[in-house]
Amino acid sequence: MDPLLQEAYSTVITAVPYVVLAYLLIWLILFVLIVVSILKLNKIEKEVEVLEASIDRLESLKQSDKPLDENARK
Amino acid sequence: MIKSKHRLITLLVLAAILIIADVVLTFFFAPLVKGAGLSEPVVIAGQLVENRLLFSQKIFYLHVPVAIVSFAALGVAAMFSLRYLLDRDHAWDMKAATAAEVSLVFVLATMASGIFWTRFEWGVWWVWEPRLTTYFILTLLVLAYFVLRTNIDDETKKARYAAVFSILAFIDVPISFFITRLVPSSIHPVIFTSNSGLSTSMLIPFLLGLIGMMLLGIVIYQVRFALHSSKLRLESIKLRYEALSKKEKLARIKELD
Repeated sequence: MDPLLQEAYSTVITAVPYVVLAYLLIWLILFVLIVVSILKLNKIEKEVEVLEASIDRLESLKQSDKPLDENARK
Repeated sequence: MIKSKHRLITLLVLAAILIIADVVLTFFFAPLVKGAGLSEPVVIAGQLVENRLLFSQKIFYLHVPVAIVSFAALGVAAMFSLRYLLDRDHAWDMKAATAAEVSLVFVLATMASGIFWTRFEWGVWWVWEPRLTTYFILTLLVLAYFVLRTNIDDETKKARYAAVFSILAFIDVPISFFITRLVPSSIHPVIFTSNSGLSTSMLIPFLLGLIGMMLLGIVIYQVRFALHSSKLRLESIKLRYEALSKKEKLARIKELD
């Protein structure tokens, strides 16, 4: 390689690992946060769904018991 | 819920496209900036080159947008905190804490990318120069905001103290931004000046990165806010479920009696 060209590009090759690492770190930090948050959100939403279904079941049981109680009293 | 999920995915995809476009243009379109002079001029691709070409400056195209989003998110947190102090509505406190979370993650990304540039260009991992020092103080302030929130149990006190702290922490943002212009001994590069030397081929990838990172910040804010709202909803549903199951148990005991 021409020594002048080599001098012009001397800092390019040596800078590559630093630039690549800087870009990777930015993406890694943001990507990990987004993925972890979405996974947590999905988990909580599932828990909410299960609990809501259980509450509906308990409430419907209560309502179906009421007429029985009234009949028994009569 | 489904509508907001679709909107979130659209924003995320848009942010990803803009950031990818930024990276492609940064490495294949934006020219290398000039460094120290060469011993003799040389012609490269039909152009006379008199200086060494700096590849490390490519970090700037993502590092600066990330830093700007960290400032903006802290500004939003301070604004929500002010709204909390005026209205005393806990929803504003939750919004402020979420914006501070966004700020924290972008502050960490700024720090992580910045130290690699510092190491390459200045030969050290850290220099106590004005911009780096004021930004380090900002990092500590954002971390302290969460330490404060974690250590106060009373919800009203926590929200009030955190709101005041967030507004005070924001004071460091203009200081950190303008310090390179105010202190002549600052060796940190200054980007936003009337003569920044940014050509169109450099400005376009930078703006794409900035808009992309802003959108990503909004996406992270919305996901984190949805997460906090869902946690609150889960807690209230759990309480309701426990109360109902207690009633049910009592009713069964009465029936047996």
